Amino acid sequence: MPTIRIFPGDIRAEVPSGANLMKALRDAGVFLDAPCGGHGKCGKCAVTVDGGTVLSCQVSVEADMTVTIPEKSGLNVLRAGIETAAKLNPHREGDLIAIDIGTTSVVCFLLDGQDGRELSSASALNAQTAFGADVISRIRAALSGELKSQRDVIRRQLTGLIAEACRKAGRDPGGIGTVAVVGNPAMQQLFLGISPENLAAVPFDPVLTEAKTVPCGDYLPICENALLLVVPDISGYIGADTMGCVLSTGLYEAEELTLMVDIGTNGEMVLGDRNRMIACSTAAGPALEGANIRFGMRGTDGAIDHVWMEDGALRCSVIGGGEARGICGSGLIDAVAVLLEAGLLNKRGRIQSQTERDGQRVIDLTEKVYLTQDDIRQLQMAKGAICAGVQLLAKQLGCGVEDIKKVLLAGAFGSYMNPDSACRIGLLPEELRGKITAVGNAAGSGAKLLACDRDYLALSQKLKDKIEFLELASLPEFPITLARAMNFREAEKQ
Amino acid sequence: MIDFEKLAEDMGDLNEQAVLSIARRVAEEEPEKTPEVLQALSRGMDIVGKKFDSLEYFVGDLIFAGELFSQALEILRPTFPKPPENVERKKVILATVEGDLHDIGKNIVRLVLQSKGLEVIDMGVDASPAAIVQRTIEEGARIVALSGVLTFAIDSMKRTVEALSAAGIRERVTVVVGGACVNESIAKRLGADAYGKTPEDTASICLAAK
Repeated sequence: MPTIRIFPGDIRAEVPSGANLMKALRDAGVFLDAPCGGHGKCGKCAVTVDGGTVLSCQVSVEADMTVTIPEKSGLNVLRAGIETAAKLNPHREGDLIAIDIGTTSVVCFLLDGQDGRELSSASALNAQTAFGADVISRIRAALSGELKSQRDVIRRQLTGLIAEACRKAGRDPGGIGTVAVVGNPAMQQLFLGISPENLAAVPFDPVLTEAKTVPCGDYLPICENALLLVVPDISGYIGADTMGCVLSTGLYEAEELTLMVDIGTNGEMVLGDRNRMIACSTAAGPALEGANIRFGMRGTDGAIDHVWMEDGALRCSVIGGGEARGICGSGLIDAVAVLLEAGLLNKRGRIQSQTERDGQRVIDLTEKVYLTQDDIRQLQMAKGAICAGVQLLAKQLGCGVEDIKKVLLAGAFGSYMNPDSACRIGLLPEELRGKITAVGNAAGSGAKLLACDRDYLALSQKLKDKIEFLELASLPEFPITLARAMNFREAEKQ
Repeated sequence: MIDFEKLAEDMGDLNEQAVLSIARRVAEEEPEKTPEVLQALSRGMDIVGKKFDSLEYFVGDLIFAGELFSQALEILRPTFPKPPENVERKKVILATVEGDLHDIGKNIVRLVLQSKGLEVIDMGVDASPAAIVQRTIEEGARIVALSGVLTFAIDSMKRTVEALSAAGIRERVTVVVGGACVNESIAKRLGADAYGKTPEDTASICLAAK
């Protein structure tokens, strides 16, 4: 059997002859980004083998090889959500764990069993990314025989994060009494080991419809003495994580009309107040997280994260302060806002400059980084979906977008993005300008509330029945609303 | 005097106001001009297609063009030629296949077929092979037009063709397929009789079918 030697670390693994290299690396504990799901399309799984660069998803291991994984610096993962005061009344005595399984990032919080304060946290990129960057890819993988693999991968990862959080705080995992987990329906089902076939076809009904408590040891043996809280999903595409956001932002008891948006891959949003709430999922796609963008990358060192005009010249700020090697979502939104004002993009999103590279029009941002026509189109699809979602929720609720009093942006992206740029490019309708606040990891905060106070689980069941779900694709006006939302507002003519 | 060249250009430019005002004028005052208006709008759609190919337009613009075209045709519908009495109109079963919810293209095809005097039974979206076969038999239709955008619609189309065979009526019907997921060769491979690249093509195929 051939052996692969993996650097850094000189990890050695025996691999069956003919095995896929990316899979072999995964089995050895090395998880590479694969937004395209291992189809050789995105280039992000590139490694160095015996001196040459290859896409690991396209390589079979036939003989001994030395593989070097490119160095990656730390990712900026947002952890602190808004801290809502909760009374301490857990399901079971002991320390508390709150987990948010995001499609992209997973975070775990350890809270003190005596007073509920946060002791430590641990986070990582969701290791299931190896099966695909988005929910659909992972669902497909699960239905093609990889349910158990994905289940085991996430459980292994959560175990590691719990251990890390406990270590940091000097607490024993055996002393944990309650574990609350939130995630979107696919993430929940994969963690619990439930086949996601309900999520793969019309009518996309959820299966996790009942709030309940189960022995945590059956899922995460490291917390053998704890109860695991299973939080209900609202629909096939609106899950416990959105529920967590509703709980921690207090939207369910809001006096004013409030919009809560999680601008991530799935673009979930809830509009309403104490009387009525409607939710929808917009499938915005991963463009805002760097996928499918020529120089797209996540919010890490080297990423352009903000762009503006100064003295007639385009300026960029780069995470980590060095030379720009790519651009992340917040940078992309800023860049498009600037380009619109400069007249370099028309209202349909067509680049007006004639510079071409690799057969398409481009606009240079720095010496190395440029935006392509395709990049603009990807952004149009993402922002059009989110904007159309807001407009159609308002219509369903029977109000105008201008009647919305508060907009809460949940999730990492919402905290880094410039809200004025978002309104300028129409990611959020212009009527919302000035009403926007970032609330950080509201899903994680919701998980904390659920862990601290047993009443929240019962509340989540009530809300699951109360929150209405709007299936956007079934609305006759959806295509035209989406089409209009994909356009831009051109700069005022001087 | 209607400037049909300008109408085609306005359609190509997605000028909603210009297109709909002509449609309303013709419907109310000059219904005999409807066929020429339809031709101009179709030329306009060709322009839209070319702009999409040259990357001036994007998917959102196509959707908008489709909606605009549909709206114009709906306004003109009362002026569509009525078939003479006692002549049975050719029936076309039209559907977006199982698992696919896209219908803008299908709706345009429906309107174009209706404008040419065909009777269209529109089964909507996510139509199962069994339902399509049953309706075809019930209506005694000789043409089945299938639409699909997503890749897995190809499989649904294939299964629909197989279902027609299993029901013993494959020989009697003409199957034409269209939509973003198919092309000439895919249409052949899945067992269809023809590929309708544009609504006009589909109309020609339906009119020529036995």
